[in-house]
Amino acid sequence: MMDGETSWVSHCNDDTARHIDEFELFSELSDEGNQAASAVSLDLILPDDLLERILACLPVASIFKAGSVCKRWHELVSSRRFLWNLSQVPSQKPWYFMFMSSDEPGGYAYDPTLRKWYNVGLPCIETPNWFKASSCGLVSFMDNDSRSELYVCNPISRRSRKLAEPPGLKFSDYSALAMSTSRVSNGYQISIVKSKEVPGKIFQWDISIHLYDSETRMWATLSTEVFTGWRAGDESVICDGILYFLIYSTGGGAPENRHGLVPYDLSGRSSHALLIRNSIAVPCPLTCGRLMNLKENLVMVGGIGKQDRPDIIKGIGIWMLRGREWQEIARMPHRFFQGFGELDDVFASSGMDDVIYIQSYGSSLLLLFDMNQKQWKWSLKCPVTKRFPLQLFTGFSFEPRLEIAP
Amino acid sequence: MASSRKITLRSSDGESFEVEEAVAVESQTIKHMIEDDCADNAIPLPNVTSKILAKVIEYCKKHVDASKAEDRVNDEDLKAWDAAFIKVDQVDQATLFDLILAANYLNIKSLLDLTCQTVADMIKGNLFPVRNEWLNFTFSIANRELVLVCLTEWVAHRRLFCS
Repeated sequence: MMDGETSWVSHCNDDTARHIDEFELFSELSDEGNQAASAVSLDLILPDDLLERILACLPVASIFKAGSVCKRWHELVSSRRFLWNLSQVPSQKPWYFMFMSSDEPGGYAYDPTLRKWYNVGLPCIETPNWFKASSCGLVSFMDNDSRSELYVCNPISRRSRKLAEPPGLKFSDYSALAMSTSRVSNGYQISIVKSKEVPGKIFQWDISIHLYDSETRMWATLSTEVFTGWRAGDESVICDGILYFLIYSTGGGAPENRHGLVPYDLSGRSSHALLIRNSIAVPCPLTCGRLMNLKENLVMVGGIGKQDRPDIIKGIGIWMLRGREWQEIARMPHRFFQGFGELDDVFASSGMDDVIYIQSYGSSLLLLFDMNQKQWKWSLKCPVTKRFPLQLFTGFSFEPRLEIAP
Repeated sequence: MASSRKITLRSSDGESFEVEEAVAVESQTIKHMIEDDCADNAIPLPNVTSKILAKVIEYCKKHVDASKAEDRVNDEDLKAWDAAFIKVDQVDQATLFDLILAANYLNIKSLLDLTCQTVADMIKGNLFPVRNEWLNFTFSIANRELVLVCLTEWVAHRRLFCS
């Protein structure tokens, strides 16, 4: 059933770019005319279960296309058995969704497997500044006003569920949203770290951690603590059952001591020692620090600040946390770094599995880093164009999964 | 392994192939037949022609040899061999589909995975946009009319779309 729009617009002759695309496609196929003809026999020879097995090997977007070839294929890819088989397939490379503007939630999603941009209509989210967290094909969205509306959805199938309102201070100053989905049970947990300045006491912040469990459909408040000279922000992630969140100095410490990382074991097995005592220092003065879960490893991407001018960056680095030590995985090569400028807060990053996306706020340029091959490359040019000089671009990554539902 | 017992496999067109037991039991189907003591004489495989059976045996032999201690082949080399084995120039499409059916019947998981992935890659490269009324997407693709017809129809009506 259709929720998003079907663009039936015939671009016709005035769109020469598309015309060229089509032409290349046809000439490619005319060379392989024989192959096209004999490819039909595949459909006639193979029984349903083998055809399903083959279709399950396709990238998600191709599965959609395959479902439109003919009635038989459509029935195959819509069947429960097929969707169940899909869930056994290891994860596909994450897509990156980029918002078109700062007011509207519309935008395009980049598929790195087929190297294409798709016009995707996201369910639930109303403005791009909503909080987002993603895990195993599910995405959670929380509004940025009262922080009381929370949805979990599958952006591809558009199925969604509204969750009970999060507890804790309704109008906290900062909130960090994170999510973890079990591949086995499809159950999920959502965490919120809230920070609120204690009225009348400078440098003191109320930090609380709340957890939602899809099995019980209930919220629990796991921890409340007052931090002195530090606060949490909006950056957090869950890896292997441990919630990590970035903390920021509010008391004007030394430049290399302005950021930190706090781990919190969600199973509650950690000691009752103060969270702040357990914090881990970051490897260098940092800007735009972002946390992500890459195959259950905690990875941080951030700008490396200069010692004397920590708000000016001399590079962008990627680190992985091993125990309580940071291991530098990669540094953005200079030729890419120049696309990101030298000012603070110029980029955002997001990633999962083996892919890290780094996006420049000031443009729709999107850079990918492949953790396996340690390779950097630009994505295909995004259809989003900059409409005015100060326009900012944001986005987030998610794993494309047809079969998972909130 | 002390003495390698030989198993005889008979194809649908009556040809006999003698293979070592270790190679034959790459096929779970044959493995069960041997365990059930049906393998005194030749094992008949009425669903597999000699041409296909020869290829299947070649595949199984390579994979068994690859895991032997003396002849240890690393994963990458084996993958490269698989890729060469399945390359469509050498294996024409009809053979490819027959290999899928054989791998399924004989229950050889690795060969089935290899052949299915190969066909999926072919499909991926051959899905293309054309005009059609019948459509069912949950999201639209920017700048393209993303509609696909059954490949037979495209081939039949090619001229209409090329204008």
